[in-house]
This record gives sequence, structure tokens and C-alpha cells, in this order.
Amino acid sequence: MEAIERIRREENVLVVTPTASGKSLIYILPTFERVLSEPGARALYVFPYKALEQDQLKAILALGGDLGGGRTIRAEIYDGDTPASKRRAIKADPPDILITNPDMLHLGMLAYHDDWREFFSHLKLVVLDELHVYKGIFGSHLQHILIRLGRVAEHHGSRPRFVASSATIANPGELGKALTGEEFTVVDDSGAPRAAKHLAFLNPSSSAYTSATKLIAKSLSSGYRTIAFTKARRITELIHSWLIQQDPNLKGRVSSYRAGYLPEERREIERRLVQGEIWGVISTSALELGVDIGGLDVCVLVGYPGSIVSSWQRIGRVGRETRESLTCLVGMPDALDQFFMREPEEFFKRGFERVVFDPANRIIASDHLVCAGAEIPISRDADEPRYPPGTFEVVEQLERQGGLVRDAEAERWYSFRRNPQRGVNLRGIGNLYTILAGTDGDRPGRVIGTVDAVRAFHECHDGAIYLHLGQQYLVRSMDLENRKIRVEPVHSDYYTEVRAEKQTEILETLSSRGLRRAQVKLGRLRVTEEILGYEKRRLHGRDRISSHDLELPPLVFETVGLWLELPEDLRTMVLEREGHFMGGIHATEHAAISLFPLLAICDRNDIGGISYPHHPQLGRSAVFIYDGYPGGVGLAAKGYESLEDLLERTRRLLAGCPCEVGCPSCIHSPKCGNGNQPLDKRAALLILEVLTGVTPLERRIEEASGDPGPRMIPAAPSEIPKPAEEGKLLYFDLETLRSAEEVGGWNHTSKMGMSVGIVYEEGKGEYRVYRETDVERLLLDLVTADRVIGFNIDRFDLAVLAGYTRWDLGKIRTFDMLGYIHRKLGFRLKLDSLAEATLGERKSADGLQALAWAREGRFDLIEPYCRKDVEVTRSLHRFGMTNRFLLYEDHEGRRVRLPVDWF
Amino acid sequence: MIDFVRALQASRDFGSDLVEVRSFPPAPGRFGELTPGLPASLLAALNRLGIERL
Repeated sequence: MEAIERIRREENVLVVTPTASGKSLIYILPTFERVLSEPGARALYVFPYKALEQDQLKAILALGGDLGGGRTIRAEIYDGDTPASKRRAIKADPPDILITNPDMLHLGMLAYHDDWREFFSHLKLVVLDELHVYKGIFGSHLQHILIRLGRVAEHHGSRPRFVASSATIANPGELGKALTGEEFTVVDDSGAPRAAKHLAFLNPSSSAYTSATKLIAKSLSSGYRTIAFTKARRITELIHSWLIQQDPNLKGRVSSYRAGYLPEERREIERRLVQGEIWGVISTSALELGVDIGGLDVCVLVGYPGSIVSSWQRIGRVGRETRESLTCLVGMPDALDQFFMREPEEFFKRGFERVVFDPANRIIASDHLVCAGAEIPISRDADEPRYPPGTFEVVEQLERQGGLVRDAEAERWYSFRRNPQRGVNLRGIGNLYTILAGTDGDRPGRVIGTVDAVRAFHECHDGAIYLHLGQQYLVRSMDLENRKIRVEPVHSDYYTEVRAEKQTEILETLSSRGLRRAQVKLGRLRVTEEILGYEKRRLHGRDRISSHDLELPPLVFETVGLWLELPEDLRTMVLEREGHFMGGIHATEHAAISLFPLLAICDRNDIGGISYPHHPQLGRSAVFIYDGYPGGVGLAAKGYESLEDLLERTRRLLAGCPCEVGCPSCIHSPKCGNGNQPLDKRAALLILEVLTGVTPLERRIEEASGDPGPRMIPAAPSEIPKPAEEGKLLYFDLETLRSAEEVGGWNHTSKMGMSVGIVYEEGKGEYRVYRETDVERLLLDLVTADRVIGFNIDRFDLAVLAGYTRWDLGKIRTFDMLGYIHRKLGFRLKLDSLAEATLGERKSADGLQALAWAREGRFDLIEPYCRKDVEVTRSLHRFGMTNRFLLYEDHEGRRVRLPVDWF
Repeated sequence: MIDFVRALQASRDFGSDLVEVRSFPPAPGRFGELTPGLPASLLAALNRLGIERL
């Protein structure tokens, strides 16, 4: 009620309510009121997943399908599944309420905003549902999409208000502001009726998965419709198959459900669940969100879901207004699970976690700034207030790299790319691999799903056992070039696990502080992971059967991480107590990462870690914990803020775990690429005691004075060699005797022959003209120069000269301006068009004319033409040196800047 | 449902491993009036869906 009143007052409202509390009416009713009182007003509803859009459309049509007097509220879904003909109709006559997802808003609406003028100019309300979903990379993407939406709406004359909904989290208002730039009124007092709920914690004394499977079976056999949530796709599949093995009558009555299935498969499972055709479902987090899956009674959490927020979301999937429900959390032998099994009270009294993303992720900002520049030119005055601090540094970097171009007046930035939106994947980083199943190696096979590159390298390498809908598949081949994975169904008694090696390189330190005698720092890192091989392990008992090598290219990404630089005294202290120092820091890293989800919503797979007894850049031991996504997702930054808290909890975890030498409940990591070797729990506990101040560090070694800090990574050698002080600098061009066509194409450039070659020597101010008979002297002139500057010299002029000599002309120190431009822009420009836009000069003739003169023997006419080209090349080069840009006309005839940084 | 919970507590398979059981009582809904009220056409549509109070 309060929320509706506030929306009516044009406030930005964020509603925080439990599942199934009728929250959609909170925004549907004010939207209807607005549309009824102000015909033409439009609303945009944005849902994070397509399945939620369908649910919402049904709700809107049920209410607005007939409002009497022939009045209806029109609503349409516009997403990737909308047929082309319908898309055109929607654009031509937009409905009152348009339902979409961030992907389509980004790709199909903002990219073509002029086609949507009618809609954007009357846009009054933007609804963002399930706001808590926008964490990490997805959050950074949505933030930029909403900035772009704000620019487009303003461009067309509107300024919509926001209504958002979220699961209960610690920081709803902060998240809303970070995503939209707007202040929100948070309404979190739900008046919805609730049925009784029961919560049980089960800590199995035998196998946790076996107990969970038995519990699901018992619930189903007792007549309760049951949903089980697992923490991994593989476990979802395994429990599904174990259930059917245990009770064959359940075949066809239970299903697994997870990301990676085809959308139609998922919709079918949802439909069967709603209609009661299946009684139970085993799912990953994929079913956590609010798709209506009907009246379920029992929820089995196979492992702690990783956050209190997520736990309550899943608990909310069972029971309704009058339907009692039971949720049972089955504890796994993981650190977090055992933390709550030992202290259940913590589950109830701990607050909800924060949802974080990194508003300063430069990789994502770069992608979206190029899109923004393609939609509406970016200007500092209009756009700086919309963007996070530091964004215009990214804009300028994009200008230097050629992603954006600045106009001649240096006021606005454009993107010259057509549809840059298509190259931006909101759901992750990089392109997906397609998984094809078939028994015949020569046939293409049936598409059974998709997988991202990182997961593909870990789970779908050659020889891997991949699980899908309870079926095991053996990966026959992984085609990196075409991103195809070929699998075939098998029955196997083993699973596979990769061995990997990681390295991290510090690129930049963003912040640092002392922590007792250690240093803790936050910065940008480059992480390189190499998958070295894989092991086959028995499904029962996890024994290693065999080990196999793999040859895969490294996975490399830049991200944000924190690191602890440890004092040398600490190593000495550990060694003197007969501890294994590397085992100690490695165990510390694992345990700290396992508790990271206590700080902010994440999965331990979102965080990576590497421990070094001696880090080559730092010259000392260090533990790195970093965001497992390119560009960063804000988790390491949160960890840096709260590291003392995290280390103290980690110390308590290790001290409280009854195991002797380490176990999955404290220091073992299920995703350790080194097979959890080496680990030393006692050493880890000592390190943590020192870092938390429980045990003082014994000073053994006088440490070197001063903080060595991260050493700067040497910049890559410049592609443009700096001329020596008194070096010989030449500008060069040549004309040919024959055309490419005459010699059989551009592959035979060496047969084209030189008619005239001209060099200009800087410093001497002298032109030297060479004919074909002088070519040997010309070659000597060139090879003795410190630098020879030309336009297309590498690909053309030297290739022509190569026809005259066996010398390796690659040794001539050239600077090819066209090659430079091509690398920057991704396409080539003509010397003539650059000269005209930059210098207001034109060439004196063209290449065809020069060829005609060559055929006529009129070298006297070729010489001034060629000399003019040398002059123009030199003038452009000098202009670039002085002004740091050249000008050219883009495809729409605008004169734009091409930034250059040559010397 | 409470009978099922008790059965689990009494069972050989699960009873000794249940480390915590909590029950949360039902809560009735709270309703109010919007000022000004919703347009009549909208109220009628809500009523058709069985929603008589907000």
C-alpha cells in the first residue's frame, strides 16, 4: 500500500518483499492508473530472465485484458524469441507496457533508439524486477545499460522514474542507486499473509548426498511435492540418477533442471511441474527465481546455498498463503555448511548479505561506452555526471585505441563501429561453446546445450565426463576454433577433474595498508590459468584411476584482487615450528575463500586464489584472492575492506574444526587445481593467529627497509622505434612499372617493378630520386637508415623492392603509417583522404595515372607525383607528432579524429 | 506437515542427524485503503481475479 502511494507521488521506489507476496501488483496497479489517466504514457518492465517475462505478461493480461468500456491495457514481450514480424509491429505501435530483458534492451532497443522514438519519448516508468540478481558482471552490465537508457530517454525528451523489486538483502537502496544513479525509497514491510513454515538442519553422519537423496525420496513417497536445490550442475544430475536407481517408479516423475539445458527443455519441465505431471525437481540455483512453479511442499537444500539471501529465496519456493511447508538444509562437509551446522543460531540471527558489483569495471565500461558512442555522441558536459568517476579516462583510452573517435572540435566522441552492441555479451565474458551429442563421429550431432569458455576448459575438455539431464557423456573432441564440443553418451563409473596451474601478475596497486607486519593491497591483476591435464576418479570413493595430460591454450584475464604480502619473519616462525610454509599459506587461502560468501553474495567459484612462497614481482611470499571474472566484480574490493573480519572468522573456523590435518570442512577446496597439495592446517592456523594478533610475530630477521611494492611491469616495446639523436630519418615512397593485375594479383607484388623511388632525408632537407637502374643504391640508402617512414611501406613498397634482392628487407627499420592506422581502426584509410581531411591537400594524381606514365616512359611526370606523395606522408607524420591526431571522414561524412602517439 | 517433520525426527535414517528444527507460525495478511482509490474499472478487474482487498 505504502509502495503504491509513493509510486503515485513519482518517487523511485524499491520494494523488498518475500517470494509470492503479490509484489507485481505494486507496480502493475500504478502503471495501469497512469496509462488510464494519461493515454500514450508508456512503461518498460525489465526482467532478468525470459521465463519471468512470460509470467508477468500473464499477470498483466489477466488484469488488464478487459477493463470495461472496451478499454484494455496492451502489453507485449519484446525479446530474442519475438518473431521478426511481431517486432516490427511492436516498434511501429508500441504497447502501453513493454516487457523485455536487459539483453534485448541493450541489443534491440537502445541500439535502434530512433526506431523507438515514440516509445522512449513517452516513457514514464521503468520497472526492474529481481534487482538482487544484478550482482557481479551482470550488475556492471545493467548499470551501463541503464545509463544508456537514461541518455536515450533524455535525447527523446523523457525522464522515467524507477520501480524496483528485490529479495531481502542488506543494501537494497545502495544497490538501487549504484545501478540506476537514482535515490530510492525502500519499502520493506510486507503485509502479505504467510502459512506456517518449518526449517530443519540435517548434518548427516554418513554421505551427505546419500542422505539428501533418501530425504527427497521419503518426501516424494509421503506425497509431498518436492524441490531440491544443489550447489553444482553435476550434483543435480547425480541425485536425479540416484533417485531413479533407488526407486524406478520415479522415472518420469522427477526431473533435473539447470542452466545449460535448452530453453525449450526448461519451459517443458516448468510446465510439467506446474501441471503436476512431475512431483519433484532437482535444480541448481536456476529455479531459485520467481517463475511460478506451483504448489510445492518440501524444499531440500543439498548444501548451504552460499548466502542467507539465497537460502530464504529458496525457502520461499515452497508453501503458499495457506500451504504449510518444510525446508531441510542438508549440511555438506564444506566449511560454510559446517559453520551453520555447528551454530544454527547464526543462520537465523545473521543479517542478509550485501549484493555487490564493481561500478568501475573498465572492461565492461569500455564495451558499453562504445555502444553509447554509437547511439548518441558522448560529451563531457552532458555525460560526465551520469557516469562513475574515472569513466572519461576510459573514454580517452578508447580514443587512443580507436574504439571511439573524437570530432574535429574535440568536443564529442563517436563510435565508428556498426552495431557494437552485438559484440557485448551480458551474461558472461566471451562466446559460448555448443555441445553436440551423437554416437557417430562424422555426423554433426544434436545440440544439447551451451557452456562458457572457462567452464568448457574445466568440464568439456577431451576425455571429460560431462553430465546432462542425468546422462553421462564422454567428450570426444573440443573444437576451439569453431567452439564446438562433441560428446557421446556413456555409462561410466568415474568422473573427471582437471589439474591446473595459475600465475598472477600485478598490473597496478590501487590501495594498500598495513596489517600487523604484513601489507594488504588491492589492485589490478593479470591471471593466467593453464589446464595441464585431468584425472579420472571413481564416483564412489573419489579414488584416482589415472592421470592424463592436455594441451590447451592458457586462459588469461585481467581482474581486481587483494593480496597479503607476508613478512619474512612469519616464514621463519612457521619453519622453526616444523610447519610447511607453502602448505600453510595455501590452506589459509582456501579457508579464507570458503568463508568469503559471508562478506558479500557470491559463490566460492566467483573467487580465485593463488599462494606464492616467493612472488617474483614482490620478492616475498604473498596470498592473492581475486575476482574470478575479467575486469572484477567488486568482491575482492569488499574483501579488502573487511579482511580483518574475514581472517578472524577463518582463524575461528580452523581452530574449531575437529579434524587433525585438514578436511573439506576447513582447508580442502573442491576446485583446487593442485589437488589440495600441499596443505598444512597447523601452519595455516599459526599464520592466521599472527595476522589476527592472537599470537605475536617473533622478529627474526631485519627486514629490508622500505616497501618494495609492486614493481612496474615494463611496457611492451614500442612498435615505433625512437630515432637516434643524430639518426638518419627517411620518408619514402615508390611507384611501380606494372599493376597488380598485370602480374597476376597482389600475391605477386615483387613482380611489379619500381619505376621511381624517392626518399626525403630529414635533417638534410634533401630529396633523392632513384630509377629502376639505381635500385641497389636505393636499397643501401634504406638499410643504413635509422628509420624509414612510409605509407603502406611494409606491405607494398618493400614487397616491390624484394623482387630485386635476396636481402632480408624485414631488417629495414620502418614505420608504416598505414599499418599503424589499420591496427588502430581495424580498417585502412587512403593517403589521399587523410591528407584532404587533415591537411586540406590532395595528391597530384593517382596510381593508375602513374602506371600509364610508366608505360609511356614519362618518368619525368612520375617523379613530381611520387615526390608529392613523399611530401604528404611527411606532412601527415609531422602533423601527428605535433597534434597527436590526424583527421579523416567517417562513413557518415563526419570529420573525426584519429589519435596517434608516434614520435 | 508437522507430522512429517515429527516422522523425520523419529526415523532411524534422519533422527539423530537432525541438529535443529524450527517452526515459524503463520501470519495473517494486513490490508489497507488507497487514497484516492483505484479507478472503478481497475477495482472491478481485481475483483474478477478474486482480489477484494490490497
